[in-house]
Amino acid sequence: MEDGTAELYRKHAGDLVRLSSMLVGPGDAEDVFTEAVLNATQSRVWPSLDEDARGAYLYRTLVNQAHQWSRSASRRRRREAMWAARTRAQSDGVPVPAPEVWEAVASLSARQRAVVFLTYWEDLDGASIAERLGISVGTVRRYQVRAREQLRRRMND
Amino acid sequence: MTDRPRGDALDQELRSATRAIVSPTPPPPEYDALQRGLGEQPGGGSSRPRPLVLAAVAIAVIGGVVASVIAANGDDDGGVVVIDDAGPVSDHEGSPDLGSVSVRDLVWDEVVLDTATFGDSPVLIAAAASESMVVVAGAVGDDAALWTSTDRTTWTRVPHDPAVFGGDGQVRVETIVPYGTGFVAAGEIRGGEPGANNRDFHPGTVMAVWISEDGVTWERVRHDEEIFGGIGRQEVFSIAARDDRLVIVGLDEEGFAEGSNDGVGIWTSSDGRAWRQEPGFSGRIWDVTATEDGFVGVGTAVWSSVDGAVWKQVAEADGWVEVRAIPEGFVAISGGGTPSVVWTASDISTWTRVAEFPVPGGPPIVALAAGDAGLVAISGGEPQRMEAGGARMFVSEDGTDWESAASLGLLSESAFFSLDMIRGGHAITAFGPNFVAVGWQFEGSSMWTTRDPTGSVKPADDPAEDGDG
Repeated sequence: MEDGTAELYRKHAGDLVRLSSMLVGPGDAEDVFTEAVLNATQSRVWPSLDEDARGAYLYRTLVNQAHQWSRSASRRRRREAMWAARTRAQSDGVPVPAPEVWEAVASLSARQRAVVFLTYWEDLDGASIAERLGISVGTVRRYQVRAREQLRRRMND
Repeated sequence: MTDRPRGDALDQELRSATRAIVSPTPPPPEYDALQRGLGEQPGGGSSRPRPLVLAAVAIAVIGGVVASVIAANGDDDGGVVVIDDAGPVSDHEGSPDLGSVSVRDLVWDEVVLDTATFGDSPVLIAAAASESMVVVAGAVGDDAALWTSTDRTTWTRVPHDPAVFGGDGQVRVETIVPYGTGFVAAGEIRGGEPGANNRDFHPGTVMAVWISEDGVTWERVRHDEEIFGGIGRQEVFSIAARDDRLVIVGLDEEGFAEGSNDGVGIWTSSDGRAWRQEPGFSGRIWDVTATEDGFVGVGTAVWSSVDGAVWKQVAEADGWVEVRAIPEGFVAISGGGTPSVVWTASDISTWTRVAEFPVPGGPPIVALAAGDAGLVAISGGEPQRMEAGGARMFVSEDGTDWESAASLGLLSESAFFSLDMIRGGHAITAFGPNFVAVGWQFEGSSMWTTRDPTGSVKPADDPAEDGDG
């Protein structure tokens, strides 16, 4: 659009919808992604942000949107069960991780999952992840350690 | 410095899992299609197609938040994060708003307790909130008392009726929970003289229960000595409610005296009016909370129950004093002394020690609340400035990573918090995206509440009211 929103959208939409999938599962990824984009682009602060800040803002809004979306424990449990089943069914040609890996990822909070996504999918370093999510580098490191600890513990069970 | 973990099998598993999860993701809609489908343009203010989006936008209007975080200890491979109460603070100047309310952004102010509403020496012990109202409970003089508010700052005392709130001794509400359209409260009637070594030891104490369908009009449940009284003391620690079930945990010295249990008292009800005492439990439950499937109690172990009557030990524990259900699972606090320790569990039987609160020489964490914006934990403490050695407050978005509220700059300059809760821990409640906390000592009571620093989020029905400007 005239203020660069459309261009920015095209630049980030692919990664954002994949992050949404990481956060809430493929079945609900587009809905949460859409709501996050609308929330971000229609917020009061959006016109005052430069391009870099807008990119980070989209990521944070998406993580928070997913966090809000997951507030209900019952929805969460159903979602994770559906997510696991659906994604396994759709994973033709893609290696399917072991159940304990699914469980380890599913046990993480939205922000922790976002760190995993940015680490292992977008291959960002700690400083870039911290900038994008608005958290400290130390927190990024802790989330990475925690994800690994969750996985290690579940693999050892 | 690179923080990209690489190379080992765990990283490969996580990389594969991430790939497997995101690969089936459908492509995002084209930008123009997104706009056409929604019938609006960025920056416009037209109507939204789905209520959920309306709610999300209202939450997203918090602007100008400057996030500040404690520089974290990055060497926590042991899985325990020690929260540095005096740690350095790094400000993320210019960070845009977070898109929703976070407990890390809520500023705490003290509520002025005017004498006309709260009396000369109110005792504020517990707080609970429904979707539309927050209720604070305790006592004034020798009688129980309750106050209500819909905005956290303007309070009204429930009209005093001696037949409801009075009694033969000191009457106090100790814990309260939303139930149905209203609330159920439980407390004690302290007869007899205080013990020589413990000012709270009243040998004639019995428990009492009150119920309200709207938070404003209350009645006391008829006292049945067989259920609420008996030999020795009966005291209340915590109450929890599900759709069709209420549970009170506390102390019943009658059972202890007869050698049938460890002095624990468990009472259940299906309507708040008719109660029964559940026999046969051995152990100590300090706190109970409702879950999707039933109840969880913590104390000398972790127990679960479907109906509140039959309890099953599901995990080892020692001195756990608080437990709350959160979207990620459960959070519990342990430690009768210091440091208090935070435990989390995605399922009720598997707990991980995730953090500890170093309060050198200070009191343990005694109250915990979980709400839309995250979690708040408060220690007891002497009535002095919170950041100067008195009570401590910690906040967390997910129950795992905790930060000092003082270090985050969330406490107002007038921070003066007194808290003397040694049991129950229902001194804090979440109310929509905000919190209300109460505390008391001999010197008097205090109440605190949060506010969004932008002032754009209102309690209770905030999502529907506000657009994004």
